[in-house]
Amino acid sequence: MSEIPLDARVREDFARRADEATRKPEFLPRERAEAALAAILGVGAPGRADDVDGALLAAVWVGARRWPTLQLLPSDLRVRKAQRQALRWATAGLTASALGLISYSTLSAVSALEIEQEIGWLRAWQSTTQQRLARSASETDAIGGQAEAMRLLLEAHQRLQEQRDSPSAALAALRRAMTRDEQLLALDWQLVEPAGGRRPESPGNDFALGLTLDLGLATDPAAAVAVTEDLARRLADAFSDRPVAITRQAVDILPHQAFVGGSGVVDPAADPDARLSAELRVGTRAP
Amino acid sequence: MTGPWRRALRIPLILLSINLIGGILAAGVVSGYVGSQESLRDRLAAAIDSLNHERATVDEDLAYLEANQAAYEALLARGLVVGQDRLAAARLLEQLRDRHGLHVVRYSFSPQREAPLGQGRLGQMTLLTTEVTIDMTGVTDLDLLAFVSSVTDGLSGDVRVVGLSLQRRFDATPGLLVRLRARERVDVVEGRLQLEWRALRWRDGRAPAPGSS
Repeated sequence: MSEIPLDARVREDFARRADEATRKPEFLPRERAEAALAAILGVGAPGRADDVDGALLAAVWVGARRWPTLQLLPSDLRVRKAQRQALRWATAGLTASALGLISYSTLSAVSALEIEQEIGWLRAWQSTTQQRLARSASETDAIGGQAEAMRLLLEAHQRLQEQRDSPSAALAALRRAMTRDEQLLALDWQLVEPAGGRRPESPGNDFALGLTLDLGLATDPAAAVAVTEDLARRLADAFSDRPVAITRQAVDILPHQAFVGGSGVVDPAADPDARLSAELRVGTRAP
Repeated sequence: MTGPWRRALRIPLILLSINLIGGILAAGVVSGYVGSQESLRDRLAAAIDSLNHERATVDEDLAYLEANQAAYEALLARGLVVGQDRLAAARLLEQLRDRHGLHVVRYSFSPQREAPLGQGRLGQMTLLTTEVTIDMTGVTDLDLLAFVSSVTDGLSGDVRVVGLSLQRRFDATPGLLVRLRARERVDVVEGRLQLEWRALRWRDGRAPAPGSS
């Protein structure tokens, strides 16, 4: 239906007037239309029942409305229509919620199945682990002894080992340093305790070595001094991490000694003290 | 909402509400079940982690025991954790003197000293120390050194050499060689060995050690 072109303000004024004119409940539909038209036109009264122009105008006015003010359907049909619409909406809602629930339930069921499988696997693993643990524990018992006791004893032995030092290594180094012609009158190997006194828990693996070199084969005192110094050099090489010192020369030529001499041949057997010897000392390891 | 709509929507709304409530209840039940299963799974996983850790510790102990069993038994066989038998030690010294041909072996054992081995874990053990001095004479220094080596290896427990001195008393003169050829006993070399004879004992008085004889 085509719409009569009217100014917006006029249109609003018409609508207001028609609304005021049709509020009388006793009017029939056509009378409402006529009253509305009369109000719009300002004639103030409804038209007659056979007024064709009024009906035409009423039809134009009614058709121009977006939402009809007049309900043409009977009330039972309106209820049925509303029920059908409500059923459509409810069906749509129920379908959507059912689909959502089905999706959620499916996902949850899948998740629960996966978790149950995982639980089954974990239970089997737990059983296996417990069996292995029991077997390991029985093996531990079978080989006798507690690991802790063994650890402690081995650690204690290691501590004792750290406090030891065998003279054999020093004597082996001494043998390598000496020639076959050189002989010792005496040797003295001493374990040196750590500074501050010996405690059971403190290591003491250090030593000092004193040597008395027999120089009876030396032809003269100068040769004896040379032999002694030569041995001292070789000892310094053999005990490279320790100080090596000549503590007494074959003849008393060291600055702190009293030097007494003479001439002539001396029989060592007649005077044992006249035997040529020198003393050397291999000190403790330098800190 | 007008009356007809209200009447028309009543039953569908009721059905929808029931559906929603039922769905929420069902979802809650399913979610609770899944949650309980997840909780059970997490507990199992934690228990397995604990078991694995325990098993790793046991395996580590086993590996340590297997790796060190020989050394441990050797220490036990050597008598590191048994009492010191002085008579057995004296018999050993006499046997070694005969074996190495020494002329004289004199020994003295000092009273045994006891002291904690150390602090902490090592404090569970007591160190028993007996100072031993052995004076010896023989023909050559090699005999004496071999005797010393046998003593340090043969005594039970742990032996810590504290001092060793050797001294030649006679020169190798022809007269000495004649005396030696005549099987005359000549103490050409004399020496002194000072050592600490050590053993361990558990402070709590437990048995010496598993497997010790």
